[in-house]
Amino acid sequence: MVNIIEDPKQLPENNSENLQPEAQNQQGLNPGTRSLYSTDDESNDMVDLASLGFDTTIKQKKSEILDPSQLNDTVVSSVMAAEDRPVNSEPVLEKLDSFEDDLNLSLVIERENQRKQSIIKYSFFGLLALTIVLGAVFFTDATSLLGYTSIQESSESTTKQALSESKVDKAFSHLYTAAISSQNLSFLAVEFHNEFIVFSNKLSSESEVQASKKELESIKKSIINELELINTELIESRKVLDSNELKVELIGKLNSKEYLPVVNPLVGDKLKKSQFIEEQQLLNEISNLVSNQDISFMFNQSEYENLDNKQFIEYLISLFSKYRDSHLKQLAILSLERSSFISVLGELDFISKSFDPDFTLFDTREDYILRHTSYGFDVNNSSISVQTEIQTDSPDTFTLVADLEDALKQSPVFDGLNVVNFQKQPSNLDGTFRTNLSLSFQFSKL
Amino acid sequence: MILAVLYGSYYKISDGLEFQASLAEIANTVQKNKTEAAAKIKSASQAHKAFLDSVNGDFDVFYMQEFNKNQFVRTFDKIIDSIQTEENPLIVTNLSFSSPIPNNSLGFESIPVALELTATKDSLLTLLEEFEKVGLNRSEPFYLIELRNLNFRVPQTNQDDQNPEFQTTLNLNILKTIQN
Repeated sequence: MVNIIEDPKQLPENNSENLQPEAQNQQGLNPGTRSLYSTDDESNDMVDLASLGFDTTIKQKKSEILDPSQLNDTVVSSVMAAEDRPVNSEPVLEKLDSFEDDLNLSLVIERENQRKQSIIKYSFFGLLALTIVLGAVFFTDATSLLGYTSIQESSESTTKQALSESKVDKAFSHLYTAAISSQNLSFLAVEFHNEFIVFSNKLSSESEVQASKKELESIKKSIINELELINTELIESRKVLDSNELKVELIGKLNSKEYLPVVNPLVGDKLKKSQFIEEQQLLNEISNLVSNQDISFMFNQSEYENLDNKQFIEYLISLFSKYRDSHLKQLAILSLERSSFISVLGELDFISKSFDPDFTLFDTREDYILRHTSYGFDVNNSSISVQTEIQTDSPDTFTLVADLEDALKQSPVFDGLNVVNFQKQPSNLDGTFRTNLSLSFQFSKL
Repeated sequence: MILAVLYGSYYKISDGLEFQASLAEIANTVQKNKTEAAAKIKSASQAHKAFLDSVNGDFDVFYMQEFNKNQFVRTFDKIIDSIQTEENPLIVTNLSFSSPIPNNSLGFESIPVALELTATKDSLLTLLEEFEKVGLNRSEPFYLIELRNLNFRVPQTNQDDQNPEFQTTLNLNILKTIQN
């Protein structure tokens, strides 16, 4: 309970000012603070009034209390003072306030020290934490987590971008080669189709057939070479374009016409090529090759290696029909799908000759077995209509009509013939039997 | 703490070395790709030029531009003249054009043309052969012609004439791409 004040000067002056004169006098005799004592002995000469029942911590000089010579005086004077003076407990309370102030000041100092210690402690741990964080960031490049790009990441990103671009360019070089072959394929297919018509036309002479046979083999070989080249280049491009991102990047470059200057080998050349086969058309071919899996799948050798000539043309039509925005492929398909009236006439001529060796398409004979007097072709429904006359020496005219129907049905070119009415008229002049037929049936385009 | 710093330093250095190695590897790959692409494009460009050199003729006139009727008529006359002979006359007595029919889904249009002609068997077959093979051709492009229908009756008037003349009608379409 006793509080020690190191420096009495720190006592607030107003405390002494607030004291009553008597109390001030008493204060001069009994300052009530151990600091005023010069020695410990003197301090030991003080007694705690609280221990004597006073509600205070002030100490009185023991000698003054315990000295019998002064005891009476003290007691009497105290009693007298108590009687003469107005009742006032201020001095004791004032001293208490003074001690409390002393206490507060000490607490302030102590708290100040604690605050300083806390600052030092927190600064230390803060610096430690900062060092750890910065170290972690430095050693692990964790800045990316904060949305920043490190130099390493930046370099890596730039390098990877360069790698992607080089891959796309390399894939483009393969597709460029494939697209040229793909364009050439359009012309070759039409040339093959034209030769096939000559070769398969029954009206063609033997020399024409032999010549077209050689041409067909040669053109087919060229087409297969182009197909194999395209397939190889597509495989190579797929090896380079090993992700969808790269494929998308390439398609984006094609769509933005970034490669347009690359695919113009005639820059500075006086030769001016038409829009029909211009650079944009070539880029369209490349787009088809890179983005249309149906097309790339069809270049697989197993798709065409065992096909005969007719099937080969059908394969080419199927392949070309999968292209988009290609003028060459559009025109090639229209050309390949054209009907050939000559081929139909040739097939009809061939079958008719099997019944009448002297048959011709434009027959004007009177001694015929079989002749056609009119022809009609309509591409809209691939139909042919023929007015046919049959003449037999024996009465088995119906048999010949039935044989003719079967022969036409067995032909790969014709279909849909159905003769349901058999009529004949005997001739009174030469004893022959004649019949007129209106035959209508379908023909195939190849 | 010291161990952490040491490990961090080791990690940092080894990571840096790996990064440098990977950068060098990627740089080599990039260079290789660029070299191969340049060589491939160069050879492709040569092949492209050779292909374009093999393709001659005004493709745009026949397949791209608006149909030029009069130009077709002039060219048509030349074809007829080249077919007909004294023994096998071929005379076109009527030539009429209808409005183009667009096929937007397939990107082309058809110009219907009707012919009335007098021909013999040989001259008619020659004309049909000519029309069936003209079109997309790398050296001699021409209008792509699609025969639509043909009707004729074989004359029976003179048995002695082995190559009689007859009249017929021939309808055909001229096909061209639609110009966007």
